[in-house]
Amino acid sequence: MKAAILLLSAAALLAACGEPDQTKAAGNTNRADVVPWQGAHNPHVAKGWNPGNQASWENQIRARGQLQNEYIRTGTGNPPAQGGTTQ
Amino acid sequence: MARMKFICDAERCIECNSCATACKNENEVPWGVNRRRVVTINDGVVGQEKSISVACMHCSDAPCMAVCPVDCFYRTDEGVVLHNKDTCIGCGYCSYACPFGAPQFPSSGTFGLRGKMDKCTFCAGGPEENGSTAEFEKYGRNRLAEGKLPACAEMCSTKALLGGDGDVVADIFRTRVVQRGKGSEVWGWGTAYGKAPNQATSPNGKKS
Repeated sequence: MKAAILLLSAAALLAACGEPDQTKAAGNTNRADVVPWQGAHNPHVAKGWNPGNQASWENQIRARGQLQNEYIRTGTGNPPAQGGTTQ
Repeated sequence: MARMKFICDAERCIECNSCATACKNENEVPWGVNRRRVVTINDGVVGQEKSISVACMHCSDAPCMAVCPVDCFYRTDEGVVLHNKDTCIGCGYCSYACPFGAPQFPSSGTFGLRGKMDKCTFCAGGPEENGSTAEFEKYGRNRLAEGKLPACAEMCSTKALLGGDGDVVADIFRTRVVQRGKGSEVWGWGTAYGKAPNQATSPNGKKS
């Protein structure tokens, strides 16, 4: 009887050592975020590109970026080619 | 693959704070939290006053990511540094590590309880579903997923603040500098500061 109680108490004590792994690392954290080129689920998505198509999204972002280039907007100067260079 | 970057042109920034206002409005940032702000040096020194708009620079080797004890940060494929508010414990280590003062902490309650960290997301939201209400409430708008650029850059009246694909932004800035020159060659310098164009300047102002 004593042996059984000792065994049970030892098992109960050692159970505390059985915690799940709480390690956090870049490899297993927040990987669930969906890429932006999948599009937003709201009515504010800009026209001119196809959500779900990465190339379409990248072209949209580059074209939109060129709207910040007043040399293109005003038609003056020597603007770079549309879309810039790609990596 | 697009790599998202901000750049602020100190020759153009007029300290209008429209970037900070646009960010506040677009993301409904709470009172006391400033994801973006305008910093001015040599304030009041004629010809030497410069302003730049500062927020999270989405570092390639971000120190906030390195020091976070709960590893709540992550970097997207587009190079945007984001964080998960469900994981953040509000310890403030990132605030000390960041050289730009980007991490902000909302305070509330009787004792000014510090909440979870908040910072510029490059208008890219967070881990929640793109464009969802849950994402908006925690992180603000996800304009990237809407095919748009950050509100601060798109709202900038003088286009001092440029944001978007690093290659495009660099091209725009390079073209601008080549066109206008630098220092006293800058367009409008003489009008603003009473010096003849192309006249050499001798910086003698002190930092404020």
